[in-house]
Amino acid sequence: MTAAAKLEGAEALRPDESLVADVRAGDTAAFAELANRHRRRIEHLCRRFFSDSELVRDLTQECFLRAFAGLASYRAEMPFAAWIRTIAVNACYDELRRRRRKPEELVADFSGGELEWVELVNQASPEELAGNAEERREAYTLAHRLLNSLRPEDRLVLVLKDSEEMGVQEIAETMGWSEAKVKIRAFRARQALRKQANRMMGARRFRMFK
Amino acid sequence: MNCFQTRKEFPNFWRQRLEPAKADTLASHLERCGLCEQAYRSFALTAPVLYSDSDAVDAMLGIEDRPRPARERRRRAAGETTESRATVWMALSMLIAASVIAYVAATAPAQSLSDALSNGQASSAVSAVQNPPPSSFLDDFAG
Repeated sequence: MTAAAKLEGAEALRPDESLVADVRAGDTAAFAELANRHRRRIEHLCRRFFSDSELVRDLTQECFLRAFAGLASYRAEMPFAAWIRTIAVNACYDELRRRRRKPEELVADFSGGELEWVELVNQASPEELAGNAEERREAYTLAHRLLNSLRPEDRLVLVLKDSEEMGVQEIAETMGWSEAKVKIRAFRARQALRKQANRMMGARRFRMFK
Repeated sequence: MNCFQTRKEFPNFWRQRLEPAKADTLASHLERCGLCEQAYRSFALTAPVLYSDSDAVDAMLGIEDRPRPARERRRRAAGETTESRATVWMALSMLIAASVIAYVAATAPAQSLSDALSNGQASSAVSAVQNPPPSSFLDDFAG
């Protein structure tokens, strides 16, 4: 192994906290390395909230800008990955609150592909559904439409709990909420989703008989 | 497997992470229990966002694993979009094409170069009739 390759290997193994120390000492290139390590994870988190790819990229960049600006306040007790995730969660929550909820749009009009997907959800075997969803963009857009009908805090709890697999206590700490609030929000989110799903199925039947 | 256990395993079943035997048990429970089946179908409506594998979603959306170039970021920050640039370029290209066509139409020769060379004599005769030399003009006048 060459000296350069060894050095490269050592760089790859450097912990986040060491890179943070370098950034604080004025080495901005170390921040680029941090951003490279965490960018995809943050993009994936943002994509659980928003279907617009441009917005997802913008939010991801905003997260890293916020992180760079706030690096002085970062304390090493929390891993950098968790810290940047908290920033991303807050950025997404801010964006959700900026947008108006449009529950009435949900059942207004299905595209042809969306209607096909709803039909499949109703009729296909459970095993078939999962495999099919990964190939259908309509399944993804329809899921976003359904989730868009939720209140921002309900949606936030649902994504953190179900997609990010965070515990109630962790969510409460991240958001500065009480655990009771997190539990109530999760319950209400599921209740609202069930109601919207039924409305969606009802709209499908209506469309079928039209 | 009861209803509670079944519903708890929906995410793993969706992600196809269950052992085959457990997945079969879950599927057979769904066949027997109408309420759980309905719950699974409702679950399937949001699962593509909440439970799908992020890399699979990237592939489905055709998202490349690269950060946006700095130039494009600056353009977006300045309020420019890729679409508006494309429109300007298209308009410019059409203007240039129209100018070229107008120029060619106005200045193009009536004959191709080879035709002009092969019919050189005939062309001279035609031009001679159209523009008689000064001597013949003087002869006619004199005659």
